[in-house]
Amino acid sequence: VKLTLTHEGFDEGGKMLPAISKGWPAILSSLKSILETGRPLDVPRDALKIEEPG
Amino acid sequence: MIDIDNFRPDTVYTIYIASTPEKVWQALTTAEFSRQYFFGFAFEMDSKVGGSFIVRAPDGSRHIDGEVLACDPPRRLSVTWNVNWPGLVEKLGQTIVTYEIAQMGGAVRLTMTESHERELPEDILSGGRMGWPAILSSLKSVLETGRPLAIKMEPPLKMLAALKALGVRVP
Repeated sequence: VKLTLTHEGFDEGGKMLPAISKGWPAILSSLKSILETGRPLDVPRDALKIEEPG
Repeated sequence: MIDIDNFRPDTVYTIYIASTPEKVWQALTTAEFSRQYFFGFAFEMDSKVGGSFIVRAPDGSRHIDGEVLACDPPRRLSVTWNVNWPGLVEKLGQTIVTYEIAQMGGAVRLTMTESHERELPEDILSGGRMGWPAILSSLKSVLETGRPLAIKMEPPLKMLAALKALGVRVP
C-alpha cells in the first residue's frame, strides 16, 4: 500500500514546517511497523524536538 | 575532489527503523541486502573514501559506477550516484547520495539525501522521488520482518521522457 501524506499552508520562516518535518517521518514509520509487525517504534519524544537556532 | 557542500539537496527522505545502526549500514552497503529491497540490484562497495561503489543490475551489468566520498560507519556514507546511461553526466552534472544514520531510543533514523551539481527540472527529479520511498520502505520491512515489500513499480515515465528529450540514451 502506498500512503501519501501532504501537509501544506505554512508561513514562511515559521516553526511549523521544521517541526512537522521531524514528526511525520517518525509517526508514519511507526504506523508501518505496527501494521507489519504489530509493534510500534520506540522513538523518544526528545528526538523529535527541533533545535532552536543560536 | 568533489565538494559536497556545493551540491543542491533536492530530495530528502527520512525513515525510522526498528534495528541497529550497524544493521542499517550493512543493508545499505552489501549485495546480500540490496538485492532484496533494491529490485534485485547488487551494491558492491569498497568501504573507504576514494573506494568504488558499484550498483550491478540483475543481468550483471554495471548500472552505477560510483565513488565513495565519505565513509564513517555506521553513521554517514556519501557516494556518487551517476547512472551509466550515455550522455547523462554531461547533461545533468553529477549526483550524490548521502545516508545519515542515528540511534533514536529503540529505533534508528535513516535520512537519504539526493544532491545535484546543477539545478534540475521536476521531471528529472521525479524518478528519485518515486523510487526512494519505495526502496527505503522495503529496506525497513527487510530489517523488521525479514521480508521485502512486493512493490509493483511503474517505470518513471516522466523522468525517462525528460532524459530522452535532453539527448540521454535511456534503455
